[in-house]
Amino acid sequence: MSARPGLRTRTLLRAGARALREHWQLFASLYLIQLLASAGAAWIMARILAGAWSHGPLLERAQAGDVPALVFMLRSTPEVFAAMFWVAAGAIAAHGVLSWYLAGGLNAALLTSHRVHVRDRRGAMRRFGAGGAVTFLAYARLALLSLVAWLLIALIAAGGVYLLRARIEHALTAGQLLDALVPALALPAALGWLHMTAAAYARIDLSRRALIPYAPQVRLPAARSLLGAYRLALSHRQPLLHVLLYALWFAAVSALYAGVTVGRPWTGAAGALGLLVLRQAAALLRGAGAFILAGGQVAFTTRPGA
Amino acid sequence: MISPPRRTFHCLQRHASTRSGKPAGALALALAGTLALACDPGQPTARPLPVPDSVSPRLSGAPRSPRIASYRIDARLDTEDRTITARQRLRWINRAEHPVEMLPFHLYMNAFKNEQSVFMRESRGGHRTARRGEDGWGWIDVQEVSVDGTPLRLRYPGPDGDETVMEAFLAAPLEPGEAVDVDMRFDVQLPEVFARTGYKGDFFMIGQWFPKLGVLAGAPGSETWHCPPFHANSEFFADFGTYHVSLTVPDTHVVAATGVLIRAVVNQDDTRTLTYRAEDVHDFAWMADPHMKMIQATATTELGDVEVRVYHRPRQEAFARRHLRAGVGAIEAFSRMLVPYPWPIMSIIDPPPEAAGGAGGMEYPTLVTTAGDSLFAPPGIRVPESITIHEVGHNWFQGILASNETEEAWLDEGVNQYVESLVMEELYGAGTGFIDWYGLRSAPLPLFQAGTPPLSSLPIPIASAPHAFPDGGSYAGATYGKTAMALGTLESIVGADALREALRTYARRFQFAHPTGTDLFATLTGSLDQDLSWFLHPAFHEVGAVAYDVRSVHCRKQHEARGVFGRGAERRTVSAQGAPDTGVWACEVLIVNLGRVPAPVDVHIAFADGTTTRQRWQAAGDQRWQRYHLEHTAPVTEVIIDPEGRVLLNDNLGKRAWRRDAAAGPTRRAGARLQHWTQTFMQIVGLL
Repeated sequence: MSARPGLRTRTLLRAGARALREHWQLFASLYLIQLLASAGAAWIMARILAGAWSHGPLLERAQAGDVPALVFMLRSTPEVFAAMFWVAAGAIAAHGVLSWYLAGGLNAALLTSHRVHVRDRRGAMRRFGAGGAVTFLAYARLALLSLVAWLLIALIAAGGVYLLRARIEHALTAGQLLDALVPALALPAALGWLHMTAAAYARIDLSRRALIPYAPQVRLPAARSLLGAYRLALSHRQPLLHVLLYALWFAAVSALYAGVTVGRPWTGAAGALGLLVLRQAAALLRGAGAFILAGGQVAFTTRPGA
Repeated sequence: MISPPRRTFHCLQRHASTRSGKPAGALALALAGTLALACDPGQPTARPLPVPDSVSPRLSGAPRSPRIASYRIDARLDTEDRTITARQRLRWINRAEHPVEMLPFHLYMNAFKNEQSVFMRESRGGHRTARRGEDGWGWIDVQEVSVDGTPLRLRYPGPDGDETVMEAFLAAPLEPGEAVDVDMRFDVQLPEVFARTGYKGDFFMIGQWFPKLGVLAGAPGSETWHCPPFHANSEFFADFGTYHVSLTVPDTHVVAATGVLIRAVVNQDDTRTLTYRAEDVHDFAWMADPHMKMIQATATTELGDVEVRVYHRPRQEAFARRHLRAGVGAIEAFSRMLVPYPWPIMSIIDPPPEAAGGAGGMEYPTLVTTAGDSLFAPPGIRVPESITIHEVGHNWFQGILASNETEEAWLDEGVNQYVESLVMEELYGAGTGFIDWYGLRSAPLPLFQAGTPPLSSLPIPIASAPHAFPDGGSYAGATYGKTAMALGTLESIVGADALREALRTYARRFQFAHPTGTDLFATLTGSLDQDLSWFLHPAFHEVGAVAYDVRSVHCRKQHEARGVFGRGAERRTVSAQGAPDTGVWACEVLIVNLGRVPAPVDVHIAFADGTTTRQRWQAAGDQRWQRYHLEHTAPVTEVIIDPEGRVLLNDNLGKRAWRRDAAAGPTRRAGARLQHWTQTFMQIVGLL
């Protein structure tokens, strides 16, 4: 993978924002898929919950913050909550697998967007669909390699936590816990950050290879792309910084949502509508951040002059 | 006054530099920091000599108790070997109506001597959340027992090798009204703390450490000794008296003890001798630790000001302030509700986290240990406060009202638990006394009710001896939770103000005495001026609880009777046309109590037109069901038994409500929340 010296982080951000402007319908489609998938899972979970608890007052009391009501529900019907958990876990895992296809399609669309007019929606969709399909298995192999990487990172994290287990166990405040966790998890966090960056650039490299016209029909090299992406990330600070900014954006949006909504009653129809707007706004902002990140990463690898 | 110690830290942290700009260097630094931050607080240094307290051992007035057993103890703590060597003189007055020939002593520390002790066999080496350390045995060895220089014959009558009871036989019977001075020398090996007393690292919590006389009590003329072996589920019982205790400790250690400090002397060998005096108490405990700091505040009662002190390690300072506020509030509230706190000082020990499981949550006269300091107890989740208030409350229930914990543990634990819940609500708000955190809220007792196994699953009644319970869980469930919830239910029957007044009468009548459960029930009945045996007996003396259930709800439109009427030629048939539906609904609501305990309760009934009605089911005696016939312009849509949740003994929280139609609103709200969280995790886990 070739380097692009002199490309500033804010240039990547501008490129990502431009990609979002030009492909807003693609972004909307991806968001809608996520919304429908999560809403479908939530509907199933709500039916399970309602079947057990909608004929009494405990469910609304629990939702209003009554801890005894919540505790009683959890204690007396643990199987209901277990079922809800597995529905959610399954939906999240399924969406994760689907996102290999969606991310592949997005990368393909962004990589080839310079070839066609921005208003050629059908063309964009065809490139999206074909791009996602052709890289799906390669992304799956990359995900398996990532699993190995994450396991190694988890082992290192476990080692750090083990070394400081006494301090962690006896931490009494969030500050004391951070004092103990930061040194324990600094290295694995850094490695995780590095891997996330490398994996993203590896995916772009795989998509780029898949788009080479008349290329031999060979298996897309997931491992080679990943190694190349590690070299890229270790030799340039912009990709790492770019990913860090996205992570901070994600955290900031989530924190802002929590700060605005937690501890307030949000009662009645107005409250429900307000919560709906805030939740979807948070999800949209986070999703937009991911889209802008992808756009910037594609720009980093394809800027003319390479 | 005690000032913070000079402390020398040997952490590498001071030497770690964060000025490197290179990522690799920063990572290496992080690794060094990882190892460095597990640092040693360093060697303790000599603490300033404490200034004696300038207060009398009791707040005001004449002696308050029959001072039957008074102790004078000189003890020396060896912090290296974790041992105590001591001499003791006990002055005991025979208040029985017959002569006494034998004096039994509790040697509680021998419970930790070996696995043959009753305590170890029953506890299997565990107590609450703590477990015995592998080599942390403890014991007490009484070297010599004498009266006027004459050694007494000793016997250890404990079953199967248990040595927690020692009998000393007097040379001559002690006549009624006479006093005897018994001298002893004894050595103590402190255990690693897991059951209230012992050491953990540099921390020493020393309770039940001296030979303590049993209690001679009973009907006049047939008094008997109460001095059983130390059981895992039982606590303590002793007579009131005075304590004059001199403690010799290293000059590096901070000490807190029962009573007031009356003298502090520096010794030649880098030790100091601190002398404490306590009056009208029945126990003496103390703490020694080289790292403790102390903060204090004043509680005001009818008898005067009480100095409340919290001893804590530096890293627990945030929690110490919470414990201090809770301690001050508890003393003032308990004093208002019952009788005024009679001593000038309350010391609250906040053990270090590694010792909290073993030493925390215990009460002694004028000194308690608290616990609950945890990452999972931020301000608003009041576990630390509840423990402090509970333990301070024990200075009334069992400190002043010195019931027999070995036979009727519920009388102090459960009654205290109930009053603690009232104090929590008073200090921290009704409905939010226990939890008030980011929209989550809970009062203390409803959380108990919801979070513990059904009360009907407790195998023996509340009013059982502690050692009769088959396991710690059933002991705790009955003694603490069910008792408190029974009193909470009684409150719903007789009214909160009336019950509080009755408890105040009980406290005034039996302060500095040894009340029994019978005394409590008699006082309640007398003060409330009604026969409550129909409730008190099943609640306290039988297995079971309350279990409300909405059995059935039937509604139909009213009409004149339909069918065939008359005989012979006069027979006629009335059909729906002849007896059309009127606009009135006839409904039948059947509610039952499937539990053993009767309890009057409110029943909320709602109709389809939005109107509601409230009925009162008296449910006294053997009445186990109630049927309501209702005529209304709309059918019944909802029935809730005990809508405010005041009958805390109710096990059947999920069955006490009925709705004709499932509520859609709460389901939609839940669905929206679940959608948001699912989508959030999709965004975290997925690639987009």
